[in-house]
Amino acid sequence: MENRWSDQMHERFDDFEVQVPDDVWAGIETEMQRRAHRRKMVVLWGRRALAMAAAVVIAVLLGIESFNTDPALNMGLEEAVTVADNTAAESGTAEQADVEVNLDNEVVTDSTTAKPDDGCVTDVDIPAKADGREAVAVDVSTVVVEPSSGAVGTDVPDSREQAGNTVSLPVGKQNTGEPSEAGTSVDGTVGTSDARRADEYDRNFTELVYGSKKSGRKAARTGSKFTADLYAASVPVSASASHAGYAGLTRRAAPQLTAVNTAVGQNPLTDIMIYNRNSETTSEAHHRQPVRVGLTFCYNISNRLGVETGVTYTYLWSSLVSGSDNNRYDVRQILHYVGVPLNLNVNIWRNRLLDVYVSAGGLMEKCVSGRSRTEYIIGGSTVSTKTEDVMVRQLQWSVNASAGLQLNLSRHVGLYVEPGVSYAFDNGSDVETIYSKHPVNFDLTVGFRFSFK
Amino acid sequence: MKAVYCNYAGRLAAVCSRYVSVDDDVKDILHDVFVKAFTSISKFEYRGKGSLGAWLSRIAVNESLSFLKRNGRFDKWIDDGRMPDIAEDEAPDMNDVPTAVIYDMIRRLPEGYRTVFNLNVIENRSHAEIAGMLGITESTSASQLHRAKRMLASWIAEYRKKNNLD
Repeated sequence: MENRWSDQMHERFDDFEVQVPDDVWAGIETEMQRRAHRRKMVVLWGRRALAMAAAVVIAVLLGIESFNTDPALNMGLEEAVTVADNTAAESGTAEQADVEVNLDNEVVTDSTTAKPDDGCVTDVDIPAKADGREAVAVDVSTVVVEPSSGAVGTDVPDSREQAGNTVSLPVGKQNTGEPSEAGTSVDGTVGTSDARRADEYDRNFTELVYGSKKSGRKAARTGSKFTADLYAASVPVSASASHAGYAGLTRRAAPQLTAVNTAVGQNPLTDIMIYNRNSETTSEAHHRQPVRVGLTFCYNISNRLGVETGVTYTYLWSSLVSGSDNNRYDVRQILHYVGVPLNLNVNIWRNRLLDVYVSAGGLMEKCVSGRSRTEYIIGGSTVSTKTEDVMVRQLQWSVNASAGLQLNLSRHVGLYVEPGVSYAFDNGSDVETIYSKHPVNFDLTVGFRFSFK
Repeated sequence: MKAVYCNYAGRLAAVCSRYVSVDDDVKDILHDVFVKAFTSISKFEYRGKGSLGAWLSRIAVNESLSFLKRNGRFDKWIDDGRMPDIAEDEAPDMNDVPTAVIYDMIRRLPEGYRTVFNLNVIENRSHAEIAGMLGITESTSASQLHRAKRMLASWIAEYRKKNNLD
């Protein structure tokens, strides 16, 4: 019987219609328009807020850049020196005690046992052997050109005569019988052919550019002066610095000459130093803005919150020019980092197509590969180049905060761009990168995000 | 949007009117029903012919019930304690009674009878479901339904007599 009720009612009322007054639709239409307008307003505000946030971030970073006037210190070059300061020359012997050089004693030892070339004084004097007239192990600033000594090879650019830096390579030979002094003879070839020397050169170079663990900070501090010369914070150059003296892309001591009588031609680096003896040298390092791409997976723990992780790849590029205009070395360093981020995303606004959100979290990166290419320029032309692998063993940790815009390609996949600010923790690595040079960074990440519940 | 409105407005208005007897209230509820439908259309999944109608109907019923709940009269239903007749209510012969008349009769039912009648007979809800939806007991739901049927039956009989349909 119930069914009869039900059947009959269904039969009658399933398609039953009643008259609807006209103003009902008008009200619905108005309401829908109002809601659409409200959505547009949110978008506008969202955009405005984003623009303001971006402006604030940029302003903050420009401010940070312009206040960052301590590049040399950051580079750890407490011993940045200027070659032109020769007044310290007299105090060469006095310096000796506190000099600890980059070309450490290993070099000295080796070269003394190396086969000397004809007519070339290739021995690097061991500091202990120093006597009044012999060159002692000094740093560049105390290149000894002792006025008293006359045993300088005549064609060797004399510190007193040398004005500019138009040095030509082959110079006169020195009398081998005498204790060698500033300037040395050269056999005309850059880099000796001796295999052993080549090894030694490699080792020296590595130590020079990347610092040796033994090198300390005790190098001479005379005449330290550095100039902060920051470029405008225009993308992509993000951190740069220049100062007088030599430098490497390392936080250890700057390359230095061990002795004044190092033969020209032993290795390009010392050649450059020798020829720059009386010139002002500067170093400029530029660390470019890192470029980062990411692939992330975001788990939505609520309608607005998500936790994400994934994998990122970052490309770091730094360059360094050290020396003088005519005699210098250019270093280009490229590092590849792979990292794992962990972030919390908070959605501010979304529609079917776009997501606007903010994100905060951390990133752990490891340099997986790195390459450095150094070009030695003497007399204005390249004399040799050296390519090397760079290893950063330490992990790089950083924390970041960013705003993001995501284009939703589908319900679960989106393409995002995230400008943000990050702070990189010092990982104690010797290798100088933008992270160590300039811990607070503005960075830009693009990538794909997979979201799921 | 307008197309959906034009197609379904009449039907949904009828649904709402069965629950709510005041026409002005029905207008407001209808407005809410469509706005709700349009804003949550992304949640609708088409499952074949009639699925949109059924989805819209469900929204209409829910909105009507919300209205009734807001006006708080459910708790005033009186269970007078009399046990309903055990015998099933026989559906009266209503073939020759126009639907509009029956529609009016339903609207004239007291609110409790009306709501339960609609939910059970037309929306096919069980007493347990109705009890949950309205916050009443199952037995209240059953007795309300029974009384609704009895009242309707007597009105239909009255109508037939008056119109010489017997």
